[in-house]
Amino acid sequence: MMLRTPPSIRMAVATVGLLAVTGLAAGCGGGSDGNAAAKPLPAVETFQAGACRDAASGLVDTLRIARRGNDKPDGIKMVATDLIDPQEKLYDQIPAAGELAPDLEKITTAIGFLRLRVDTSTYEPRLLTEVTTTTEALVNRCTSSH
Amino acid sequence: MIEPDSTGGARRPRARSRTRPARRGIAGIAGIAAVTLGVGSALVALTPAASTASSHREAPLVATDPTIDNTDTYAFVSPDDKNSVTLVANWVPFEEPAGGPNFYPFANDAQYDINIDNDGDSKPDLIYRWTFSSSYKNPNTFLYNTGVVTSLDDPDLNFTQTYRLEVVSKGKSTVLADKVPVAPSNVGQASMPNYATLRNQSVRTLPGGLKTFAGQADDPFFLDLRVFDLLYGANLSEIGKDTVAGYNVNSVVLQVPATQLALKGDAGRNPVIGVWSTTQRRSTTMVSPTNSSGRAMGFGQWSQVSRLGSPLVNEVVIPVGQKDRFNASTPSRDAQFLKYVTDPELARLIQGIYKIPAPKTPRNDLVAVFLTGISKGNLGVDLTSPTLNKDADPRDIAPSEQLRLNMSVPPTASPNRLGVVGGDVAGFPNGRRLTDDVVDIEIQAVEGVLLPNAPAAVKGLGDAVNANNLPFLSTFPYLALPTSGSR
Repeated sequence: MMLRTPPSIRMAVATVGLLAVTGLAAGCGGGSDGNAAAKPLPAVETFQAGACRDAASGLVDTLRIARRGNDKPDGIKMVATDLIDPQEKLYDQIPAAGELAPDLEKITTAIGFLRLRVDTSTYEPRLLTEVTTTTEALVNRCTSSH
Repeated sequence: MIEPDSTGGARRPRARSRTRPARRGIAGIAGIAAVTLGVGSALVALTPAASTASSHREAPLVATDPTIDNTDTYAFVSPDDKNSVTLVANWVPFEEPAGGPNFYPFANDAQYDINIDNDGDSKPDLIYRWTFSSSYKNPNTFLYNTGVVTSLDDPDLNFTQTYRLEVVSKGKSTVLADKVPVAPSNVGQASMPNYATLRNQSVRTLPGGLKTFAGQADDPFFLDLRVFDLLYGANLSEIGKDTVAGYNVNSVVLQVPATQLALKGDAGRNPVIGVWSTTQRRSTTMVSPTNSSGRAMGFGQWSQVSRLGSPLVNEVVIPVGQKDRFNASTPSRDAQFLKYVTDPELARLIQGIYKIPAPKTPRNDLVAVFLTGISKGNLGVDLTSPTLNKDADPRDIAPSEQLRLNMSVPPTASPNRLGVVGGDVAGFPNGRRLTDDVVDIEIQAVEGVLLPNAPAAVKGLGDAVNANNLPFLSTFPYLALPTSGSR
């Protein structure tokens, strides 16, 4: 007996394939490994008062560690470890962060995935890029009016 | 003919070095893990983060009785015969190959079943049942074999088992084969210098196009069991080592034409089947009095004591207080376990440790994978839902935990270990092949890989054990030969 692949299955293959390609494309985007030339780290005082100022030290610490990249021996593991403190600091501030909360959660989630993928030996450079870009975006937002 | 599979036999990766433990928060992590494991290693359905292998010693009762402990179940379209399905079920976890003098027989007082639901009503329409009988040629020696064993009927093979295979349908049992020899435990090089010959002699072709095998095999499951060291060393750093490598299991393997499994015998109109294996024991065991034979006998009705469909469910979905109950339960009563699927503990555990928000509950994506089958109505594609069976009565279809297989999906020449998640719809959770990396698939699933807009970082999660330590075979029964006792 010959079993033919029904159209629904072919569509499933195509859909899953498309998802895989889409995910791959998303994963390839982003660029740097955290070492790209970047603006100097802003001083805490330059952050807008309120939730931005409250998160300033955590954001600056995150950016400094992320930009350090993995150019040292055992580099990315050290980065992942060093990011735990600022991640916890930022995570604790989410409930009171008001409209900044979604952006803070993007950062803590990006750090979380980086840590998880480092711990499971499945790290990819785009994960550090995600930490850097999400943090830079919020830093720019918090310092833009100054 | 025993031959290595050219595609499925990748060697497992070497153990990775540990990462540095978190400078801070390790106590917190350990605490979370301890609490989680303490309430039942109930992580989640689907993670590596959880368990003793797929279903190895996963529940209190079976942990003390390895011969009834069903470790894994597989169902896949045969890679060398797309018109047939191969069913595999394993028992007796962690067989140390040199574990003589009695080694590892199947229990004589148990029923070993593979159940098929082909109409989606969560009740078995076909039950393939193996029952075993044992004998010694010479009871006056401690030896399993008294010389070099060159064939299954070798007089030097002191201990032998045979089995009866029957199929139960609509309450009627039909014997398919009887007194079929079981492949023995692989005692060692001196005793069984050509074990492949014994394996080949234990494979039988039956009328109707069936093939059957029962005996010892390499445990085909692969994962890192250090999950129980407070979740892979408290920070998932203890990964990359196939901790079941080198251990054997007892397997039954059956190859059946798809037409014999399908509803109304029509695999074209009704391609989806549900599969789960079970073990039954007599409800009462009597141990002989002191100073008598020292034997035990079973009496009473048969009681189900082990159950396994999809991998890792009883390990990481069902909490410890419910694990024996799950093993004794039938799929038609699975509503009682629904909450453990819709709100998986593993996702919450990962959120606690890594601050990655758990996907929103209820997890209907996991319900589709484990309880209803995948269809356009839930995950956007028709794949494993019994509603795809044209002759099934929709009013009778009921959600339940089974391993569902769409038999119309042809086998893939080069299987992707991540199955559907990896774009290969011939793999888990469309059935389960020997090469499917169900740990990685399930941890990605629990972190939401099947949800719309899943974070790209979810893809790639896993336990860094990506393949079995031994190559699988390209022909029936596909399982690698058991590791020798003299390894």
